[in-house]
Amino acid sequence: MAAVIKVENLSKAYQLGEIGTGTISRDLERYWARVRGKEDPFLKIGEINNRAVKSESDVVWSLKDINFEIEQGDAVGIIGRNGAGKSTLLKILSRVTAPTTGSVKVKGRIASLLEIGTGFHPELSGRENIYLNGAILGMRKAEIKRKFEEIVDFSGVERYIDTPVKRYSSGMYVRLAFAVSAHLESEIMIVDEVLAVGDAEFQKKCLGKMGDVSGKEGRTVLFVSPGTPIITRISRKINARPNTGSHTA
Amino acid sequence: MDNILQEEWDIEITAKKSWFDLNLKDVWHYRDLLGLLVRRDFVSFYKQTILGPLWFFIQPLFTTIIYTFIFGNLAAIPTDGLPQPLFYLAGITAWNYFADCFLKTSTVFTANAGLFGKVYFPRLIVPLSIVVSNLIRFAVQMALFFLLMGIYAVKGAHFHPNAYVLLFPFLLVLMAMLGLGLGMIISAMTTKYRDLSFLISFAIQLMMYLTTVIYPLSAVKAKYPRYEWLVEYNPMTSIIEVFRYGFLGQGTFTMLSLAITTVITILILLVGVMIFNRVERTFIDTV
Repeated sequence: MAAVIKVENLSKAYQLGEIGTGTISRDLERYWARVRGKEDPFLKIGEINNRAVKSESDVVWSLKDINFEIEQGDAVGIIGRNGAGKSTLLKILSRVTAPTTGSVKVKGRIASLLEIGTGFHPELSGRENIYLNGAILGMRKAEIKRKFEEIVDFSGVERYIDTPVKRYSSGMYVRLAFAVSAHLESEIMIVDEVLAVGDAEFQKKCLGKMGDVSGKEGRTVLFVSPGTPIITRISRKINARPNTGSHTA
Repeated sequence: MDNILQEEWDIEITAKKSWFDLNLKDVWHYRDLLGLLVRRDFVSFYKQTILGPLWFFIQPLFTTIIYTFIFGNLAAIPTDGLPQPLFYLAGITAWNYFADCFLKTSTVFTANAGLFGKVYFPRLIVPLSIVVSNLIRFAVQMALFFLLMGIYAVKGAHFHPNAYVLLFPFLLVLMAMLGLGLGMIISAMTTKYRDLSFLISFAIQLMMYLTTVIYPLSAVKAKYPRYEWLVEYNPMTSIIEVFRYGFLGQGTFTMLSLAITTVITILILLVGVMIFNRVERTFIDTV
């Protein structure tokens, strides 16, 4: 099978503590170092990512020299402690933030669900929000129109479709939001801890959909979960492995 | 599969990106989103209000009345011989469009941090949608302006619309570009330095006094010949002067001053787009 995601030497550094005071002087210092062709003074090498231990440096490497490949049709679960860098990895893959070093190469379209219902406007109706949310996730209007019936059907909130979503119960809101995301046409799907929502019936439906996406449709799924039950239910292969140091890929 | 095919990737995510890589192809793909964002802004604006879009009328109308009373009558600032309400409304309508574009674009990153932190789409779509949304408001205010022109024409006031009216679409584009460019520069900087967001709301007010909204350029030239360049080289001044000249027949500008304005505007927009494009990649870590 061909690799659809190839991650090479990926690292991401974050600034700890308060950002703001002294930012101008720090920015100038970093700029000066770069002009002289020196290494960024605020990215000291050798710090490890451990939230429990106090450190000298203000910089934490959430991800450090990560390398892996994911093949087409894999369902990959990423597990790790809180603060291990799971979501950072997904954020980089979804292009929400850029890596500090390294690169990611991707074949095909990525649909990322770091959160469901992103961009929902409380004043707009369910119908209007399906269009808005779909477009934010990268669908064209014609595409949403074609799938509209299917989305409403999957969500099971047809009766409320012309009511502003601020009147929805939180469960109905989530159902509608997940329904839009689940109908994205993409080769790769990235999901971050969003499945712990809705009632038992809806959770079952979501897991079934995720299983279909990777099993029957041959799409690649990447997801994060703090626990293992969901992972064992839908993954064919668990690819996560501890990296060097205390970093978790 | 052979090696050549293996190396074809659709998306490459790297640490550095060129200043000029604007990814306009992506922006074009997301054009439907632009329309939907404009619709969202418009619909959510008048939801649960009684007067709805009428609110677009009320603000310029009352501002004009107050300006006529204070600046026109109390302070007796000349208006190039034009009827005072017409003179002020022309300035207010044009200035409001620019100021709204500027102010709303300048908070794009901070106001949309929640959205930008979760989904990727070309961030340029949001400022573009702001410029288009404000166009609706501008159109309503232009209608008010035409209405007032009609009333004064019937009353037999002296003003002479002329061929320079044809420059109107060009002026509109200039105002949008200027608001967008300045707004994007500020928005990129507010992600780190919040001070600017406090500065900007009153800076816009002060900028209005450096623009020929409540006085004509001819009055400044006559009274402060040494400082008039401050007002004259403000790009909004030429735009408003040409706007007034086209619709009302009075205004001070030369083709040179309009050309300088155009060049300044294009430069500001270019710088704005480049800075914005640069910051959008990692602003979520510092916002």
